[in-house]
Amino acid sequence: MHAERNDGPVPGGQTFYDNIILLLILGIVVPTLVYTVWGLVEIMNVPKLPIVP
Amino acid sequence: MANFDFRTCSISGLKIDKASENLVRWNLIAAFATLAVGGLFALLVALTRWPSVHLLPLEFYYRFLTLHGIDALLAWIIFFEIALVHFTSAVLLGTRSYVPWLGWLAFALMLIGGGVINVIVLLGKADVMFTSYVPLKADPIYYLGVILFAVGALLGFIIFFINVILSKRDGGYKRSLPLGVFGLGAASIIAVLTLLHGAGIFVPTLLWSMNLIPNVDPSAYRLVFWGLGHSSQQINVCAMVSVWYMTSAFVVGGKPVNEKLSRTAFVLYILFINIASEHHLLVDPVLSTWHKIVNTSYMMHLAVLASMIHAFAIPASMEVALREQGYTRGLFEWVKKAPWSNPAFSGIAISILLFGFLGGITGVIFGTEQFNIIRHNTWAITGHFHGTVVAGTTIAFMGFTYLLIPYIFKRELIWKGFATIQPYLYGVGVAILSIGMMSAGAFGIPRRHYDVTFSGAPFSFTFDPAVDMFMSMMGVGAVLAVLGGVLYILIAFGSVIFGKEVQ
Amino acid sequence: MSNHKDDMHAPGVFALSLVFLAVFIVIWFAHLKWLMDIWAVR
Repeated sequence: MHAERNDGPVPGGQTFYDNIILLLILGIVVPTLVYTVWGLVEIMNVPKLPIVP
Repeated sequence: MANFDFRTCSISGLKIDKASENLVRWNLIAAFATLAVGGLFALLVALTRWPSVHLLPLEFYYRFLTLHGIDALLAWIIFFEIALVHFTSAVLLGTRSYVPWLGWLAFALMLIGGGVINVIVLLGKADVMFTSYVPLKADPIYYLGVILFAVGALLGFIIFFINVILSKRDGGYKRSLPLGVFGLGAASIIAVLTLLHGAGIFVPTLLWSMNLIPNVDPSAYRLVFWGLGHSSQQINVCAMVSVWYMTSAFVVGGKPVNEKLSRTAFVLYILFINIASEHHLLVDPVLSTWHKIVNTSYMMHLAVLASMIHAFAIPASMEVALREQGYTRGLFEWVKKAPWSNPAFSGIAISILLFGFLGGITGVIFGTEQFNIIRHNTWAITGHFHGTVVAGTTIAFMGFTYLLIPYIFKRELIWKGFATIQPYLYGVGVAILSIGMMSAGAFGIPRRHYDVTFSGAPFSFTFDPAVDMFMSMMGVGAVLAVLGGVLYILIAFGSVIFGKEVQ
Repeated sequence: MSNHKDDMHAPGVFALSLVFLAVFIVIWFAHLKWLMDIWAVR
């Protein structure tokens, strides 16, 4: 289905892309930190309004 | 387990094992059925928002809109994607399905979860829209249904990893995965992230609906919900792009012009596309400008770069293949001579054009803070995502169905003439629908709104009269699209049941 | 190295990509003008 050349050493980039578990880990960790964790930290640090009777 | 029952498809040459074949078949059948239901609700809702028709009464509008979101956006698409998981991780590799029992468990959970959701919403106990934002509270069974469906989907995507890793161990494929399979791998990775967020938000919300915890912070809900909600759309993008590559390969013999570039684009999706979920929160007061701008205006464009790569790589692969078939006159003979009467090809071509120009571009625009503030909660947003998910992903899946029916169901298509026009009819319908919505939204017409004449409200407000034309345009587009959708469902089920058997 | 690269010949799509680039540049400058006119960016 694609032009496959089964000769020679595998380029480093190809080895990285072939590691599906590493991609899975990165694909979970990166967005979770940059979007979810950062966002939750901001939300939790919103100061509460004082209750004025 | 002893022998695995393989056959070789006489059309595609694929080596197909019985277990995978059955899993693909039944997930597709569930997909067709949920699209039919979602499409019916779409028609009813569209005829309600078409001012001259205004079909449904108030509560049924919101109820059916909730179900339209669930059935068309979640269920149809995810069932189809699980079918693609089985197709790519086993059939395309020519290896066996390693854990078919898990596939059936996943299928059952999705079916039961989807059924529970539909029933509880129809009973009127969950008129919360598919976003179910707290403090809107649905019956606990609604959240349970969503959790069941999500767990089933997660198991289904996990099967991709199990199949691919064990297949590599057993020598099922050498060196790297084919590109179409790699794309579904990207989709599966995003799916795991998506469904982890789903668990993270729906479990506490379920507990809150049962009064076991006092409250769920609405800002936090929105943040984590969209980690589920938008990321699930990015599963769709990866699956759709994989379908584009695979269809180019199956129909015209297209090969990726540059594997490195195409795979890099998928990896950019894996790393960066989900943080664009932030665009749902651009007008939320709580999050900082930094969080908003870094996640959208900056990093979103890395994912857009990836889309640009695919947008040129796939037509280029078609051009190379068609030139090899002899269509070398001038710059564009290959376009004229491409197999436009093949609904698999035309589906993909229409999907690429409409996703790119209607859905994708508006997504990048509306995902920018300065634009978002004037488009948020208007119908322009709805127009955008009908451009992506319906004109893009759904049409691509429809096109691919026309290949899966002979390859996997071993049936010829019925009504081939109608099949030829179906992608065009549906595509034109959705394009008109989407443009109508976006134009109306530019004048401020809100989304998820029953009556923009505000009849019976204490204050009166009239929109610019131009909106009536655009809302009617939406209605016309919707009717055409539903006609195209009905054709698809009839051809799909009809071929599976009555189509001539392929030897 | 084989003639692998020479096989990948897509002048039509390449031409389209140049058109796309030209349109993008036009829209880029138009959006800068829009930012100045509507959003008072200087």
